[in-house]
Amino acid sequence: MKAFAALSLRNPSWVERQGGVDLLTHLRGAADRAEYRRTGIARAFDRFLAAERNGEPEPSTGGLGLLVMQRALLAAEDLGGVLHAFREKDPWTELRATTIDRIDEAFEWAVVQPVEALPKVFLIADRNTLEEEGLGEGDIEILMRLRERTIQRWNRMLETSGSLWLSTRDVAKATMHGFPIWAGDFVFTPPGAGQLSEGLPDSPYGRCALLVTSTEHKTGSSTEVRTHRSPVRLDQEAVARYAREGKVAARLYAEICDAHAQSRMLGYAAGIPFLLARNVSASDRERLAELSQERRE
Amino acid sequence: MCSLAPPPDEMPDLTRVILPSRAFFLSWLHQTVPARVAAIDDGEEHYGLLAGASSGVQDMAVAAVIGESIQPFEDLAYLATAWDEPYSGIATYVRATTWKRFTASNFWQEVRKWDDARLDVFAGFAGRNPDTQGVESLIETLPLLGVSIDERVLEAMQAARDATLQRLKSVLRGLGDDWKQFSPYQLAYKHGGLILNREDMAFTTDDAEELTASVARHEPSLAVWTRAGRKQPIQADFNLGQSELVRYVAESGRLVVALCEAFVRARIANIDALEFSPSGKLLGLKPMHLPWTVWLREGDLERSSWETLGAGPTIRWASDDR
Repeated sequence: MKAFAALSLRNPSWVERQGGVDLLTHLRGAADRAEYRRTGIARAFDRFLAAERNGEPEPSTGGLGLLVMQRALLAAEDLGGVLHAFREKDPWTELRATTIDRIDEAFEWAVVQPVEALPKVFLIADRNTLEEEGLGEGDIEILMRLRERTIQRWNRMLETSGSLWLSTRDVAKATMHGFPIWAGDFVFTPPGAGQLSEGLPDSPYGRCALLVTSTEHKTGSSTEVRTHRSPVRLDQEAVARYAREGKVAARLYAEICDAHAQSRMLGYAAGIPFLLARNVSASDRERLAELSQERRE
Repeated sequence: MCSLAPPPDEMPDLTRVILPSRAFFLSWLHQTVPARVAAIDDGEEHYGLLAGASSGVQDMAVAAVIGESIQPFEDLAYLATAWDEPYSGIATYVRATTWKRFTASNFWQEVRKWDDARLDVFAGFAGRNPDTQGVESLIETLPLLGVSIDERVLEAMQAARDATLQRLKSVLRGLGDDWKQFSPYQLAYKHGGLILNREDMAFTTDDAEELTASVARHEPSLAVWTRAGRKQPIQADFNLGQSELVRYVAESGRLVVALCEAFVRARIANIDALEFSPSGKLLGLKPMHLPWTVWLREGDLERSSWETLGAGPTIRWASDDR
């Protein structure tokens, strides 16, 4: 079989310069994928809550909490992938070759260096761009106020998603590679887990698990194996946070992909999204509607 | 309540080996197996609710069922590799906590070529000597521990062992094919949601030069972008309808979860025989049930062997002799 992009493009060379048509088709499908990620997280969280309500055994309820975390992390990985890809020259290749280290770097970059990240990742126009477009000073002020609100929102969403990713990615990875996670009941209740329990205080939050990972270190002809332990919170408050933050990551992923898809389809390099137009003053809102109409015409 | 036999003089270290392993196996049975089953059930149920949804959402749901169903394949690979190639001198479970990039792929490629000795270890009929890594059969080791087995039971155990190996060879080979077929979709689902957007793409036969109205189009049940650098950038399935694909892969996933459970049950028996006080002190040995037929289905073994073995023999310790 052969695959063809079935898209009518206004400016094919612009699309090609921005990573190609395959990337564009992928960006255009992001909203559906993000919707599925959000629903998947919500469904897993509902199962977790039902298990708590029904008094299911702690280890199996904790297992459902880990499922929530894993699904949330998949959404964060989607987001991290595009953050990384849009930093680089060949975003389509980068998106399909992302590694955990690159995603770590991308989240840190986006959160710590928003001045550099915003134009690349969010394609958000600055004052210079608006002036070059020939807009009047009054309109520029309105758009800059909208820009500021949008940036604040995106920064909050980025921090939330980045925090989720950086704090729980090792656990989520483990759930996908052999599940080396001990249920808290078997670690902290006698007879316990021997040396794996040693020195660990019981969780002050209630339900938990213990991630156990080992790494090999070659020294000459011998191999030393080092084992690391990390407690994982699986109480309702923590699992609710994983669910909430995962959904935020999915939403932000969809918004970034949409901004890039629009840019490629309509042929502009940067803009101010009208996502938050309903939150500005009535007079600003009215003028934004007029500007939007003028653009369409 | 039965009386307890004293623990053997030589047994693995309680703190370093027995208790962490016990907690590992119990976590598998009571946390991981139910979580894996719930994930597959949920994915399949979610797909079933999306009849009127957009193709993008439906495709993602199919990919999710594959993702949830193929994860247990990784689990079994880690468990099997740990017991097949344990680290020397430390508890066997530690190997299962070591992430290596190709553990799952190597296992599923190679298991079809495993000889009987390795499958004996997989099934729990034998173990690796921690010093020599050689395979030691349980049936041959038990008499050395002073355990006498009735000849009739021994014959039934041998028949069950043969039937288990035969079944595992067949099942693992088929699952190896499933791994090869479905793991690209699982990777796409897990790493970035690289599901192809069929609204913007069209599939034609290889001889089509360009996409025109007259070119016949084909719809895959699912198509994904592969990792950069692969020979083919797209992996697509044209063999099954979406619902068939979902049903097939979910059944495969459930079978592998069942194998993971059997793998754990085949090993937890000797730890289950240990009795602890409420404070965690080792008190002694209870009778040990060997789940010798845990891998088998009714038709795999003759009725007479089932009647002799049932769920497996129980070893009762002659505590006075110890």
